[in-house]
Amino acid sequence: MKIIILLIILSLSVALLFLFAFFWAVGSGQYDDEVTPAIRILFDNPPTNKISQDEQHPDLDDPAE
Amino acid sequence: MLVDLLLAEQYNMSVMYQEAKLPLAKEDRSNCAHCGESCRDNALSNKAGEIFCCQGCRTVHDILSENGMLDFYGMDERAGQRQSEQHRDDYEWLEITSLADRYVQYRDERHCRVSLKLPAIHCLSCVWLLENLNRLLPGITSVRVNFARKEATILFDEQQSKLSEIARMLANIGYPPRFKENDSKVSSTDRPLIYRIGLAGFAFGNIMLLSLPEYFGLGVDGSAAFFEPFVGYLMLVLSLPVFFYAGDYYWRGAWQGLQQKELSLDVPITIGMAALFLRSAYEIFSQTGAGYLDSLAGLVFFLLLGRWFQSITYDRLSFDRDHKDYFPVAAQKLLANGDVRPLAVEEIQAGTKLLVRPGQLIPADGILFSGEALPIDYSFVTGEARAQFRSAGDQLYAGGRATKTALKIEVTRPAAESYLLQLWREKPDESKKDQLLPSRRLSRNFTVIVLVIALFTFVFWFNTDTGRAFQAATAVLIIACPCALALALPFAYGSMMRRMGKAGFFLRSAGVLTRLEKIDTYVFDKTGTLASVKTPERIRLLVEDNDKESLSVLLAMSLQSDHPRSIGIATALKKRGIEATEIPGVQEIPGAGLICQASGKSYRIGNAAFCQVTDHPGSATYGSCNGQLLVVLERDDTGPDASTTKMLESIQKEKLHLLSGDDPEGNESWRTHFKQDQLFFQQSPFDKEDYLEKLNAAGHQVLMTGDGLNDTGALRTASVGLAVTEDLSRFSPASDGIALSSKLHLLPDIVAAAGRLPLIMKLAYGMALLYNLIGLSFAVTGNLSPVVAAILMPISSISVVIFAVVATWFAARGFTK
Repeated sequence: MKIIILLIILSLSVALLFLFAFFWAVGSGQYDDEVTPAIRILFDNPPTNKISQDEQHPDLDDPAE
Repeated sequence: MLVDLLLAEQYNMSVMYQEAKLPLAKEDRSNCAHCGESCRDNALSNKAGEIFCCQGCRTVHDILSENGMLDFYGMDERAGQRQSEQHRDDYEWLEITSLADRYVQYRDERHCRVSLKLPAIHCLSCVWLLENLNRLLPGITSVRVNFARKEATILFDEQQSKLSEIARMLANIGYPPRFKENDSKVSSTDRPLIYRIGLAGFAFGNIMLLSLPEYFGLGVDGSAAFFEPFVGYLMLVLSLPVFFYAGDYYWRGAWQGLQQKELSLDVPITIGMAALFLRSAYEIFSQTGAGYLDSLAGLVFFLLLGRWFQSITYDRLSFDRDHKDYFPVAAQKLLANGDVRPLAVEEIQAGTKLLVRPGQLIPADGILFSGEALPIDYSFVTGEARAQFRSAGDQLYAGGRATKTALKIEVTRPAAESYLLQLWREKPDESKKDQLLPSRRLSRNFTVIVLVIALFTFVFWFNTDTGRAFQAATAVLIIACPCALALALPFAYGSMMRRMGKAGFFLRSAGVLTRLEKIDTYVFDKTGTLASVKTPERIRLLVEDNDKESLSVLLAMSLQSDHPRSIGIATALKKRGIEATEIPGVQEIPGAGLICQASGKSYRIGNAAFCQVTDHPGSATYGSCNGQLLVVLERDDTGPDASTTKMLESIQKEKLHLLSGDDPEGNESWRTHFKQDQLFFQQSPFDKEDYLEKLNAAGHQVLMTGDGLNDTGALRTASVGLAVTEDLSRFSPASDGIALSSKLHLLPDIVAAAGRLPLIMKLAYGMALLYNLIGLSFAVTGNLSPVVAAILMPISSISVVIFAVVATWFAARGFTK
């Protein structure tokens, strides 16, 4: 039955992982704005952004630039 | 039900959508292509044939269509709001680095970050437009919008776009930024509290899991020697951060209370926490038991949740606006050579010469040094729409707005000492007044009684069994921990506040409820609260043969003046197809009207006495030719509407007062609702404040409603000042709460519901004390096992919370149905 101690330690470390993930999420401001992300997800990527990304590719590929 | 309440915040947001603007059919050709409002009279059109109600709307539409961003209108039917053309701010001052730097959060060679308040943000399209602002201005790298706070964080390259250009662009597309100094860097969520809740919840769950074998008496076979100590130490380790970190609010609260020689409710809470922790630590080290650490973590977790529930705030509403929000940040200093240079308002000194352009506010008291009969709009201060006329040498007070011509003034007093700012003079600390605390007597008596019982228990057992004496005494301290008592208050008041928010009454904090429940006198401001600001004006033409010639002279005259009544006459005449003719000079007589001699006749526009008409009531505006009445302009004051009348009738007449800044004109029905000696017109802001001070001195608990800056002083003096607004995104003065004018008729129900809170609290306290008695009966006999504690403590807390929430729901039925 000593295995249960190992199991407890394992489960606690997983739980701690989640606790730190929660702390990180709060610290990085994810709970500061609970409304706008829900709105933002509704927007399609504007076509102009895609073009500008495409344009950037040559620059990245060519170190001489 | 709890979940329902927690969601209420979100729901309020959607209420706000609905209140912000009703969707209008944009396809309708007679409506403005930008804001969707009807614009039959003076529509403008663009090349594509779309029509607009005003220049402002057309500018926004042009900018968007030039940049291929017309998707804006497709996203949300509330996209596009009517532009207010008149009070467009100037952002020239942002070019002064020292002033602009106050708003810069971060800066390196390439990037600069600012956070701007944009009160006009109201819909999905706004977010889309603002986050794609880089398509309008190349210097902008990215924009993040915080919808709830109506704020945009803008990252831009200063080499390409200056902050002043960005501000101007934002104003042009309909989002004039509001610059306020003290709220730029405040985080909306209380992060320390959320960390603590997360930690306490984590510890609570895990300790409870580890305690399960103990609850059910399930030992692990043959492993007691190592298993139980291991679990015990593990629980102790888990409870350390809960005891020292998550619970530190209560340690500090108790310590602060003791320093002020006061036994606050935090004292018995900390005594309970300490007893729980020390007793458990002793049991674990001595291996005599499993301790009560699950109860400790649960207690802290529930207490913190209560704290969070109580701390709801309406981020998007400002309750603390002061003059700085309305006053310009900079003024135009007039240099000796006639040039102007922006100057920070605080740097204005007596003797500085300033230029106030049309549409700008006068920032400091001063003397006008050139010009004759210049109109100044003091509506911002007094609520009175009529312009006042000042000539060179006259004293001007800060807060007036130049309307047509620029004003040149020589400052007599620095801005901070101006006459108007007396309205905002320091009042007793608002935040302290709003703290929500259970009655002092209750927490003091409670602490004393618990300590006495613990002492008696100890003495009682001491002679027979010393070990048991310690056990029973600590058990008393543990079980008497007033967790349920401490939770009843935040949950009852917090959920009442949420319900009021749902009904359109947003309170600054739950503490306002404690003052709301004692209200016995209501003071109303008429225009903007009881009567709509948009009272329609009606014109009557009295000429039977439609004397077009005279009417066109009157139209030409009325076009010469800025007076709202004059504008009213002009608009009405134009609507009837009258066209202005050439007329000789118009003489404007301040306070009376306009006079003009044309083709041998004397034309007048003005009040009854001025136009020499005697058989008409004094409130309307008239136009006459040689004493013969041609035009009458009346305000169509129909008196209070049905719901307002019902509300006024439901309150006893003795308790009702009306303080209006307007003239005693309009519908007589107002008089029937108020006692003659409690009905006042033409009240200045200071009159209102004095009147409220008198009521306070007479021992009344006054609720004041007001809508304008002119009510600020009175709203502060009242024990509850309620700002009434038609639209939450618009201006409202500093106050204890903000109410939607469409919901104002619920006011008596709101006050009644707040009045039921003390009874709810008494019942909840009764319940909590009953649980304590049950627990104590276990404790004094020395029979409090960890299982009993682990069951009794959460049950008492949860049932008290449920009771508080259900009872408030019941109490609030008057306005939620």
